[in-house]
Amino acid sequence: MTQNDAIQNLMQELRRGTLVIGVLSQLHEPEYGYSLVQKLNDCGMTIDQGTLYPLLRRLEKQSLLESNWEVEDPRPRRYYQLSDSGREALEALKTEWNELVKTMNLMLSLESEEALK
Amino acid sequence: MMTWMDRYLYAVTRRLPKSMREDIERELRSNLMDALEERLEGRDATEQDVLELLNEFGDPEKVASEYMPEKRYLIGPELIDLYWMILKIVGIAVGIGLTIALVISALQGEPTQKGLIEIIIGYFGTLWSAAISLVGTITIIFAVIQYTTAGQEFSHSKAAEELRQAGKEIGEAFKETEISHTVKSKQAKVKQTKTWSADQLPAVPASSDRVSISDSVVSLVFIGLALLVFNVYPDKIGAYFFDNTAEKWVGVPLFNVAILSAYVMFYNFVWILEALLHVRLIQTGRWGFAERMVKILISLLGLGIFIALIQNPAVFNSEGIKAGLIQYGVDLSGLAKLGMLNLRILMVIVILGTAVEVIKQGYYAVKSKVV
Repeated sequence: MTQNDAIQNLMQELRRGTLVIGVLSQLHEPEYGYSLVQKLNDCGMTIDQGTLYPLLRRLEKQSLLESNWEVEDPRPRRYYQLSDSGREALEALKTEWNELVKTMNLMLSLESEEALK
Repeated sequence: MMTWMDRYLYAVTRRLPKSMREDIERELRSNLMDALEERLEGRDATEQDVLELLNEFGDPEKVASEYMPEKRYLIGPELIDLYWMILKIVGIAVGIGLTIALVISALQGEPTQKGLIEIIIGYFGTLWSAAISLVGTITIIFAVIQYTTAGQEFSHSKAAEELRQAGKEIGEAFKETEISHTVKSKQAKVKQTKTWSADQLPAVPASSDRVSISDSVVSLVFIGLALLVFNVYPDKIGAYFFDNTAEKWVGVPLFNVAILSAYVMFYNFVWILEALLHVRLIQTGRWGFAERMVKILISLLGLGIFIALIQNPAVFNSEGIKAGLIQYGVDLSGLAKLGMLNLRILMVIVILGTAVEVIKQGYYAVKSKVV
């Protein structure tokens, strides 16, 4: 593994941790797989479809999401939406996220000062 | 053109449990079609479009593994070290046992007068089949343990459920055998998987309580050897003479195998108990109170069986040994006396040895309770 690969790996890991909160935050209204990809893309979150679709199923299995098939033109689609416990989980994740941002910002601003010296 | 998509969907779903396949295929197809439509912007799809889309979507194996996030093991990381260790120990024990058997049968000259090469080929044949059945048996046992304890969340098929049920029964039986720590370990296991807190950390063992892993491994090897020799080749234990006229080695069994087998049955119990104790010691790394009590029990049981065995003259193949001694011109009268004397000396040594062991274990057991 080259140095560059290692860095890529680290960044991927970092992003991976934010996937769930990102996905949950965009599912107050029902979305089907591809429409959610676009919605996330529009916000700037790039995610492999091959990662997102399995993730949706896992979240559903954990009862954080609800899904149902809609028969519509041109093809039937599976729509996902937050469940009650999903909303609860999202609130908890948001609180945690805000704390994390605060902590990280503090640490990184201290680090920048340090680096300037 | 659509066949590429079918191939892709098949490549993903064939790696998934049957129960999930149809649903996932339907959903993935719908998503893929949406994505394809998006990039076409109204024109008709070409083969190139589909291939590009699928390439972007990624390796089917990776996509399938995203659907199956639980890593699947036959033997998981928490068991694999123990698995390799036991495989090595048993392998070495059986290897040594079979080699001894080979040497004995080569010296004896098989009744069919097989050549040396045939014997050696036969040896490797036996070694190979023994290795296969050993590795197989140990692997199955570990896989069952894995399914019953570590892999509890993994449940899809009915077959897995049945296997788990069987595994549970075996696990229960296994637990019952491990008299020493039934209750304690059950509690410990629950604690391990559910909650952990620092106040449950065991104390660093005193140097007298530390287990010497090499001692335990050597013990396990010898227990394996004893199990093998006394159960499979009891007739090979004996005195060996070189027959000058026939120009080969002749063995005279020391024991009357039919009568010995009753004692071997009891010894098997003691040996297996001792083997379990050593496995336990290797796992925990310390001699606890329970382990010492089991060791005392094993010592006393072993001594009891030994005394019973030595008191029963019918166990020994006296007639055969006498005949052998006469035939091969060994001075009988002196040797017979020596034999009786040897048995007495042996008995004294074994009793003394057991007494020392029991006192030692008892002393440390009491000490560990007092301190």
